This record gives sequence, C-alpha cells and structure tokens, in this order.
Amino acid sequence: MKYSKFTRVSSALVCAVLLAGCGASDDDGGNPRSEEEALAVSDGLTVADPAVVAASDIPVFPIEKYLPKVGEDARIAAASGELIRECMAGFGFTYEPPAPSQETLDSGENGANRARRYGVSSAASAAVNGFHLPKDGLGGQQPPPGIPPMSEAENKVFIGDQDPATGVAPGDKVAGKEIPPGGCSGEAQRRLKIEPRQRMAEKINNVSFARSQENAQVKKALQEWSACMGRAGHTYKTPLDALDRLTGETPSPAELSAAKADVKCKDSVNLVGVWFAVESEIQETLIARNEEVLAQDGTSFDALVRRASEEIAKS
Amino acid sequence: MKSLRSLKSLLIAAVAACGFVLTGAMPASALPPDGTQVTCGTAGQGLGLYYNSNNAGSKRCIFGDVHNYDANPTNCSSQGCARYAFELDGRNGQGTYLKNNAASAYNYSAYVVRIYYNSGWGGTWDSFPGYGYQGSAKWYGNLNGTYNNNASQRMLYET
Repeated sequence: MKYSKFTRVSSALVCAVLLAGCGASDDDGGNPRSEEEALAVSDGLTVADPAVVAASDIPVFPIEKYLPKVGEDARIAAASGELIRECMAGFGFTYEPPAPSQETLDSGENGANRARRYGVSSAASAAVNGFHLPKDGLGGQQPPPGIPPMSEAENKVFIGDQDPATGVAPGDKVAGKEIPPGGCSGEAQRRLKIEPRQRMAEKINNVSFARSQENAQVKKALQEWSACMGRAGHTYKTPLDALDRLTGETPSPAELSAAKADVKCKDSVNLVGVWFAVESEIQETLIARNEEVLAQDGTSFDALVRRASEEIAKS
Repeated sequence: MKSLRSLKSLLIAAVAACGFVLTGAMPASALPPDGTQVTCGTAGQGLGLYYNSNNAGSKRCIFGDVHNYDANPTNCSSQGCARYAFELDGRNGQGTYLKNNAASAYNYSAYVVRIYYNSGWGGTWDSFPGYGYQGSAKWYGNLNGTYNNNASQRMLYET
C-alpha cells in the first residue's frame, strides 16, 4: 500500500478550539489535568486531501505505538502462569497454566482492532465469511477441551482473598501452609511486579474512534458509503450498522453480497482513507497533550514485558 | 457450535477408548455453546457484565462469543433472538437490556475476553485476561471504551 503523507491541518487551528492550553508546557506540575481536559477533542477538525487508503490496507494508527499488544499480554500471562504453577505445587496442587501458542506470543494485534475497526476490511474474507469472523486468523478458535473446575481448596489457594467469594481471610491455611496474600495469583503479581496502568493509550484509542464519528468530514464519507451501498441494493447507514445485522452461524448469500459491496464501497468513496486521517489527527493531538502519562505507562509496561520474557525463558 | 460438539464427541470417545480418567470433575461436556447464560462464578466460566462500575449492580454472565448482545443465539424463535438483559436479582439496573448498558466486567473464565464497541466484533475493544491474571488490565474492572457501549464479545479459547 502506497501511503503518502497527507497534508495536515494547521495545528494552531486545532489548538485554538481545544480546552487545554496548547503549546503551554506542563503547568505547575502538581495539578494534573482533569480527564475531560486531557481528552478534549475539537469537533471542527478537517483534514485536507486525505490519502487514498484501501480498506484492506489500513495503516498503523499513531496510538498503536502505545497500546499493549496481544502478544505482550500473552507473555505476561504465560510468565504469571508458571509462577502460579510453582506456588500451587507448594500446596500439593497440579495447576496447568494457559499455554499461548507462539503465534499469540508474537502477536502485534491490539485494541485498535485494525482488521474490523470500521467493519469488514477484506474483499476475499467478505466473499467467504460475510460479516462473520473468519475461521482462521483473528485468534482462530480451536474449541478447548473442558477445563475441570478447581476444587474449593484449590481455588482458595489460587486466588486467595482477591475474590471475596472464596471467603479466604488473612492467615488461612491449606494443607498446613498459609495462603499468600491474594493467593498464588497475588504471589505471581508480586514476583513480576505487576502494577495498575493509567491506560491513557486505551482512552485515546476509544476517544478518537467515538469522536471521529461526530466529525463532519467522516460523516460525509459515511453518507457517501451508504449511498454507494444503496445503489448496490443494500440499506445500511454505516459499516458498523451492517455488523449489527449478522445472523446465524453461517452467512447467507444476502450477507455475502452485502459484505462484498461493503468493502467495494469503502474503497470507491475512500471511507477508510478519510476516517483514518481524521482519527490519526485526533490521536496525534491527544498523544502530544498526554505524552508524559503515555511515557510513564509505556516504560513500566515494557519493563514488565521484559521481566515476563525472562521468566518464560527460565522455564 | 458444530465444531465444538464434534470435538466433544471425539474427546469422549478417545477417553473411553484409552480408559483414561481425566482429573477433576466433568471433562469436555462441561463447556456450553457460545452465548449461553451461565451462573456467575468460576464454575460457570462466563464473562460477567455489571450494570454499575466496580462490579456493582445487577449482572449477567455469558459464556463464549456473542456477536450482538441484542441477539442471544441460544434463545431464538421465528420472531428472532432474545435480547440479553441483566438478571432480575433485586440489584440496581436489573432487567435492563445488556447492550450498551454495562459499566464493568468480571472475567470468571480461564480465557482472554474482549468486549467490543460494535456488534460483530467491530470498533475498538476492551480486553480482560483470564481469572486471576493481570497484564495490561486485571481480570475484572470498569469498562473503558466500551463503558455503556458494549455490543459484542469474544472469548479467546486458545489462551
């Protein structure tokens, strides 16, 4: 996909209508912005000459640099699982942790959901799956064997007092051994030094998606898409509306036809190009405004992923 | 799901053939079809959605994939499929339709789950790891982008 840099709207214009001060350095340092200020978005944003983008070739969003990846979370889970297994064994339980495939451990997918953010994106997939999920890819579902539920004692050791439903109190023992705070789950969190994140990247990802749909330029492109679909004999306001209508286990011929038209119309009106351009602009503004929080989250999460990878390498 | 049932039969046959006894309680037959409403709690292996933040208010626990919270695939008639709603449990929001009305989630399953902004797994997603796990998020918490904007869900069996 040949993606050329599009002409950016003047950031001064964008700044003029934002609530938070633009170009102002971090204020007194002791007063964080309210979340509302941190995520304020101008409605009047317009991108001149958005690049032409095929639905199947949507570029990486600016915010994806900061979003946790599926593979990173899988590594943390695998590492946690090993630590939990060790801890559970100390109580005489044989705990089998999740074992993500190498594909999952390497996955760069994230909550931007590029493959389906704007609905279906691949003509080839649409022709076979309609609006249904492809059988392969998108985390290809292999139905698992049933997981035998844990016994009450095992669950107490596993989760401890993190789940009030277990009724575990500090000092409680199983097999003569004191349950660690938070159970073996809590133990793994401590050993990997897992801490809550501020999740600013997720917020920006969501705000740009939501607010872009109120943007005049995006709305116009959606109208053009809808008109194109109408000419093909399908009535949908937006490609996300079309996903609402998916029914049954397998796609009907009508659904296949609609999904193919969806992708074709996206390309013929450059819906993805326009939408991506507006979202990118919103994201870049929000990223610049919240750089410090994003960096904090990023640094600590990267360090956690490294610790998890080291732990996995040990076993 | 067709493939799930045939795998189940295969597994049961294999178990019988080997004379091998699986540890724990019930084996493969324990897993219900996508969209089944289950008891909230680890035994149900469901994803719990709550009407209020911080896992308060009325709840609803569902196993597996749901393409649209307004269409329960396990409860369909010629009229269409029933809409999921929060349990009638005397709590805040009871009986309200589930779609676009959930504020928090609790993952009781062993699997990574995703809640999507749009039906058909479109839009952005909020992800939660399996019960007892924490990564970029904990296995429970307030919804982020899908706060009162929850339209579909996936349960990722593989991991």
